[in-house]
Amino acid sequence: MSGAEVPLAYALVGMVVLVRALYALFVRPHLLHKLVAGNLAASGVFLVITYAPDGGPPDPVAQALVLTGIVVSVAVTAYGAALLARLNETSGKPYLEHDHEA
Amino acid sequence: MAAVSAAFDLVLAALLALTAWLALDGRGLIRTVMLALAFGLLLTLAWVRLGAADLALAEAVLGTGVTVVLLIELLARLRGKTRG
Amino acid sequence: MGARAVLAVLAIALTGWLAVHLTSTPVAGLGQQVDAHLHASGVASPITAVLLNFRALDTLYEVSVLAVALIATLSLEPTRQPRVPPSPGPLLVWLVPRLTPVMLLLAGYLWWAGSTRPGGAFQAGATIAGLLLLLALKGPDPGLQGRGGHALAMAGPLWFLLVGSATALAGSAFLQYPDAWVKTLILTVEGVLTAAIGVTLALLAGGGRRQA
Repeated sequence: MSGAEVPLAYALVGMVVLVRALYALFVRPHLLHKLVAGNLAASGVFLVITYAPDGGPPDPVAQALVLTGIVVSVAVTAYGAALLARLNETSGKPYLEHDHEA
Repeated sequence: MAAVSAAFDLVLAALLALTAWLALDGRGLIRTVMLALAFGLLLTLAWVRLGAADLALAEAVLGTGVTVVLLIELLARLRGKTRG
Repeated sequence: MGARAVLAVLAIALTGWLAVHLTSTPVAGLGQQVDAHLHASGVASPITAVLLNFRALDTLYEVSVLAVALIATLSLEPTRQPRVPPSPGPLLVWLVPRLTPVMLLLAGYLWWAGSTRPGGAFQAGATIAGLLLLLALKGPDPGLQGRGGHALAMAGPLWFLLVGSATALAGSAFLQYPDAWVKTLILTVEGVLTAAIGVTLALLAGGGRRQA
């Protein structure tokens, strides 16, 4: 009888992942944690928008949106990683200035 | 049979939440990357369970292989270990 | 930590609100409209129809974002650390030459199958990117970090733009495919995108330029 309860579980998990990732994005000082947090936040959003109340496959428009989103998320994470590596080289540490005390 | 299927989905959803939660607790860099990889693999399964085959195909390659390769490259560069 | 407590309460409230909202409000998608016009899209897969026809402009934006991300990554100064790739383990040495034709075949199949079943340019392009990364990990560098690779990466958005401009110049709207050419145009765009997305993602994941 998993009509709509099971897809709802995925959507709620998506929300939990999104919230946790947003929290980590702001709170974790190391930039790699922030980077992964951004990536996982996007994944959480994807789980939310593919929710189909009738328990069937997600809406094709939503799937197209998420498919695009997956690719863009990878590209943004890659650019962020390049920026992080560069910042680490120039400043000597993988933290934002105000995040790293002592 | 439907109960088993529903149980599988609930366990998978719970594991998704758990891996994401642990990946972001900030207790280690390699830990984060590996848990992010686990999350990507579980998410691929979730897309299959939701009936979104296109998303599963994309997530299988991008969310696991490509993302993790670039994160591990990043880790190597952060530790200055890019010499052989 | 008062701030964290407030955030936690907000988070729980948001999740609870979402749960209530999703179950109470009828969620109307655009699926019905897509199915209604699927016959006119030139392909049989609703997702490919949305990506390459109904919302083709958004896909053009997406490949442009990829190109911009690549340009931005390449425009960072090259790393000061010279990169010596580690010698590959025996597993890679044995596996990669055998996987290469399989992955090429898979990418080609995904590209072709995207018209009628799950597949398409993104999935095929992702497979190509995975293959390129494997090749870079295993052995001699595939050599896509120079002008040739950049040209391939830019070919995706450029060809897409060209097709759209051609349809605009021929009297229709931008990216409004003429009926007789729909499937052919979509397939060619997807084909070029497959190569372009593959090369772009592989270059991005490799970190852009490296010194010798």
